[in-house]
Amino acid sequence: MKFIQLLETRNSWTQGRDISPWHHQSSAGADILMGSIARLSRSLAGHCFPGWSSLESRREILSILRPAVQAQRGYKTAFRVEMSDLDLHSRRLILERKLLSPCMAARQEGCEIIIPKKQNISIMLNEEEHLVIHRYSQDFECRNMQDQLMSFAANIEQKLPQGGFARNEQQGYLLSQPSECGDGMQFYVLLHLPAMVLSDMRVQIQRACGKIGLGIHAFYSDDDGDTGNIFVIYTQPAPLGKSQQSIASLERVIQTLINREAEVRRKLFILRPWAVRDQVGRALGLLSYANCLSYKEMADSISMIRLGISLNIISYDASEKAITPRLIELLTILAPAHLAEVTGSQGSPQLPCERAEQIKALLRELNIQLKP
Amino acid sequence: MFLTQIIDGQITELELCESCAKKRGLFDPQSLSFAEKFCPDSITDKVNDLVKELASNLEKNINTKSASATAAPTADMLTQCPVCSFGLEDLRRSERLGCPDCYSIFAQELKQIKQLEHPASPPQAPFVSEESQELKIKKLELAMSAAIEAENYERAAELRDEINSMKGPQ
Ligand SMILES: [Zn+2]
Ligand SMILES: [Zn+2]
Repeated sequence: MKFIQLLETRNSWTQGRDISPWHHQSSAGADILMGSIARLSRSLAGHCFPGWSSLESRREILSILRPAVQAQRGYKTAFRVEMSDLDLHSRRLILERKLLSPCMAARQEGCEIIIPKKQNISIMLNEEEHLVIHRYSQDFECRNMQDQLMSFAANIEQKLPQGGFARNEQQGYLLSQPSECGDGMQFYVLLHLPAMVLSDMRVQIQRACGKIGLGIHAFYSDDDGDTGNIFVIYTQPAPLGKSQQSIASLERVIQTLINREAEVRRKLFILRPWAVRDQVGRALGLLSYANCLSYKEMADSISMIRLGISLNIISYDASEKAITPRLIELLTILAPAHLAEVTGSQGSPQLPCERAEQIKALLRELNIQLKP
Repeated sequence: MFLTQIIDGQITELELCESCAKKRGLFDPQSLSFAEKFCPDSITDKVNDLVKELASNLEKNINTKSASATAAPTADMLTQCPVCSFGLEDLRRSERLGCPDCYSIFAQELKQIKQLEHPASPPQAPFVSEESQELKIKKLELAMSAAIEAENYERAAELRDEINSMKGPQ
């Protein structure tokens, strides 16, 4: 598969879940959960870890792992490229599709990515470890994803000439950082928590995660620090035999946060309806009338529109069945590199204007309005 | 901060540190303009220092390597991994390892680090790691050099045969 074909294929992962709003009173339907990622890491015995390796040794790793991956069903025709063959713009494109870790995006020769057509998996060779696989889902299904990844990795291991993945009985899989040894699994969940942020509950969100050893950071950060209403909550690398336990902690916290966000939304709407309308209205105003829109302004405003939709104070074209996915998709297709790809003007000062134009057109098409 | 991908003693690329990566977000579309954003000036200075340090270490390594060829240390008192040349000092500085075999080479040190981090946990035996084929061969090669050094040619010949049989038909 060529790069251009990869770009032409829309992946469901960047569109988020197809959720119909308010009439799902359940918290699950309230546009909070945005997807999850399972990350599997393995390294090969007898070879330098990528962070300490020469080009020659990285090439050797590629020559061992690449055929083992391509022997898997559907991977012969997958998109595959060495990082050094990707220019900065292409890397940004893949990164904006969330199919690449920033660590990998900074890599050069002897490091490869393999992405199958469905784009629900990306395989990174010589990332932090020799083999790193990300599995993406619009839902939160860590156990499934873990099972799939483990058996996928086992199939790859079967095709390895000798030695296999480095592991020992006490520590599990041996990775480049001693603290990360173990099951070689990590999980990330994306949550959209606008009401909690509006209610100044950032610290509480952080505390809920920190208390049981989960990491959290804002999905967007800029020079002023963390911003935005989307959060990434993740488990630390699981020690040997502990990945089920860390999934369980993650599930508990995610469920708590989802319930809490839904509750805060209802409360906000009952106690301070004018304040919510004000925030949603400002966002809609910005999107409707701004001539230039930065990515951050767009992302924050779209979050508010989504909140408005979930609280039923935004109306839109009733024939549009997938309003939320279309809005979430904007976070990818109007990100800097995607926008530049379409307009053909990389890094141009025109991009924020182009972004504003496209948003206005979409608002008109979907007839998005604040309900009176 | 961890330096990566050393090619011919030249550092060709810098890897952002874990905390930067986490802070910057796993997939933040805005966070991608490597050098400028990942390495603001303050970090760039630190990187330059590290690069100098590393370069001098590499030089030292090359010197000690030629020295160790004559000294031929025994396999169980290594301060450097024979498979990947990662040293004890590198571990102390970076809290990372060079290759999976480092786990058995630096087992003692790793145990101590763990003890420091979790003083409450009961003392454990050092981890026993299975050695890779590469490490077994490297260790035999070290023993063979030592045997030659001690003019024990009979033993050296045995070791040579053992090494050849492990390497298998090429
Ligand atoms: Zn850093
Ligand atoms: Zn090593």
